[in-house]
Amino acid sequence: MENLNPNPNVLNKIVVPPSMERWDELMEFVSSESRKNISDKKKSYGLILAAEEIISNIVRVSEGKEKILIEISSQKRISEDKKLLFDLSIADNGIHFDPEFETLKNPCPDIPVSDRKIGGLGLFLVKNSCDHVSYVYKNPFNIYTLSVYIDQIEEDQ
Amino acid sequence: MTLSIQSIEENEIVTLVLQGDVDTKTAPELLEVLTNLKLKEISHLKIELTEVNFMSSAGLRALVFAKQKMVHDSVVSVVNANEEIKDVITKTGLSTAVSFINS
Repeated sequence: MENLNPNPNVLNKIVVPPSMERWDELMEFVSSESRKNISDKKKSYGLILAAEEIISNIVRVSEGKEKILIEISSQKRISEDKKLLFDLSIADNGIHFDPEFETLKNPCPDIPVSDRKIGGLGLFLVKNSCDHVSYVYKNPFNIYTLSVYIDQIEEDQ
Repeated sequence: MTLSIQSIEENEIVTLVLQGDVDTKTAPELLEVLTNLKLKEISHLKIELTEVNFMSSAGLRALVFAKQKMVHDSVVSVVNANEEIKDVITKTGLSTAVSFINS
């Protein structure tokens, strides 16, 4: 896999095949980076939850296929509205999958649990557990970016 | 990441004591335990989460599976869930079917 994120602000990165054999390694990276960089426990949990869902999807569709890799990188950056963001970028060169975050709706707003189909719950949690989520496809890479605000930048800084 | 599950059965009340994380890797173990229970005969299923720090949608699906297999007036409770897990259950609308108990 080519270097997907040459940004010098990348803090840490892991690149491995997306498989259940590497599951613990992937989740350890996500948990460690989130807890280290986000002091708010609820925001940290939300980011780990969202990343878990994305990684789970990638592993499910890629398991056993050759030459597929997943790359997760962490970085801090200043947003357009001058706030400090922490990002986890998750990229893979597997099947093209656009989660269509912009149009994603709550999969089960008023349906009783007894009648509920549970599909779509994971992506709903991704969208609702972070401050920003985005997806781009840069052939042949799916790139998901999950972001949370971690601090306010003062005007004079 | 591992998950251990202890099942305590008392008449029609079953308590599952979980320890570890409930995620994509471990949720199938919870689902297997639930599948092996006679869910239609259980009036109250308690999922004890004191020692659980994380539950993904895979864990929530297991809760929904149980609720759907149990009879209509039965109860599913999560016991001592942390604030983050409670928040996710509420956010997804499952708190209408799963009650919270703090002991």
